Amino acid sequence: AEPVASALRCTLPSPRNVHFVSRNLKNVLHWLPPEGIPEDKLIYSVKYLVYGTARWINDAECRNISQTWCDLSHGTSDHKELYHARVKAFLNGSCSSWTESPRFNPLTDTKIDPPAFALSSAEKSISVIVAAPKTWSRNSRNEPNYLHEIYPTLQYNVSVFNTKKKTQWMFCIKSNRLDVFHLESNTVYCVTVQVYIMPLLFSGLSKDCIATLRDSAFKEA
Amino acid sequence: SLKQLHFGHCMVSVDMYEMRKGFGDIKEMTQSQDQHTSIRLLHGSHSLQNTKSEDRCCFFHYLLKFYLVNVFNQCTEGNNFHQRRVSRIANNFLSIKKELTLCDTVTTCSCGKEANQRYEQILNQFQRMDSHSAAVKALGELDILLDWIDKT
Repeated sequence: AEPVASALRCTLPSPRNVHFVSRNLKNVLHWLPPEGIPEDKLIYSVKYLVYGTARWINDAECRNISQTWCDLSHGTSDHKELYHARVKAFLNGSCSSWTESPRFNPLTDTKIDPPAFALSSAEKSISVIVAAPKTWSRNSRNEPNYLHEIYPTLQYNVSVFNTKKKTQWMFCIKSNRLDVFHLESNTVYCVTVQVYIMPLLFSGLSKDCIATLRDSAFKEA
Repeated sequence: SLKQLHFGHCMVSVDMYEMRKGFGDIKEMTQSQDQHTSIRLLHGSHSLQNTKSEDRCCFFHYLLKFYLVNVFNQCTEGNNFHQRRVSRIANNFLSIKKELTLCDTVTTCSCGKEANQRYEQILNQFQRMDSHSAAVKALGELDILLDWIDKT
């Protein structure tokens, strides 16, 4: 069990830079060890708070741990809420005071990973099929959650670049499939796909290229 | 990126990028000044999208006035950078309010019981705190209001 802080003298220097790192709503708390203390014997405990409530909550996975991060996705999975977290260090019967994270708003403070997508082509067309990005799931065994279920404004920005003519088209799609027609045969097209949710919340670009097939008339000649 | 907001008969354009960017620049500093983490003014249950559509226009109007009267002019300290960001957001609120006021006179931006009750709860909580702490808390909750606007 966690050493009872009140019985200990909390004179240790505190953990530093406590902050959430979130990707696709997988919310992991990170921090730096207290300055000037050998790290190998330090242990930490983490608590979190739902903003607007007074109760600091223990996370069973994040008690008496030696690493300097802990996954709080489960406790912070209600996206309508905002959160604070805090960390305390323990060493040889002494402890530090708590260090608190900045307020964490899962919906706006998460980072979105570039999406995976598949390309296929015909003579004069290509098809782009985007794999709907998944979020951290409460029960990852059988209920994958998807970003578009959480962000109704989610859309995909798709660019299609003709590498021969150096011309480009931009598309903005809500569904995860795009078919582009009237292209040139036997030409390499490079495609980028980006997840866009709101002005300051979008992913990096995923990129891939594919060639349209040779012109069938050309083959028979 | 201008977002078109429809409140019943009213249609308002909102520069979400500028407001989110402006708030993002002052978020950590503002929220770190708010020591009352057990108090939340803008509760999820009071959100715009949880408000009856016929009441949304009026409730949104109340919120704009609340921020313009009670919050932005209270948060004038901080460095130049902070002040510029707050005034830019305030100017955005002013232009939205102007558009809504036009709509208010032309069509009925009616204030039903629900809108009045919700606004009263926010104001009561706000007035239970000392004015500066309350203004800092409200400013720190702008991301909640911007989320509500985005979902409307």
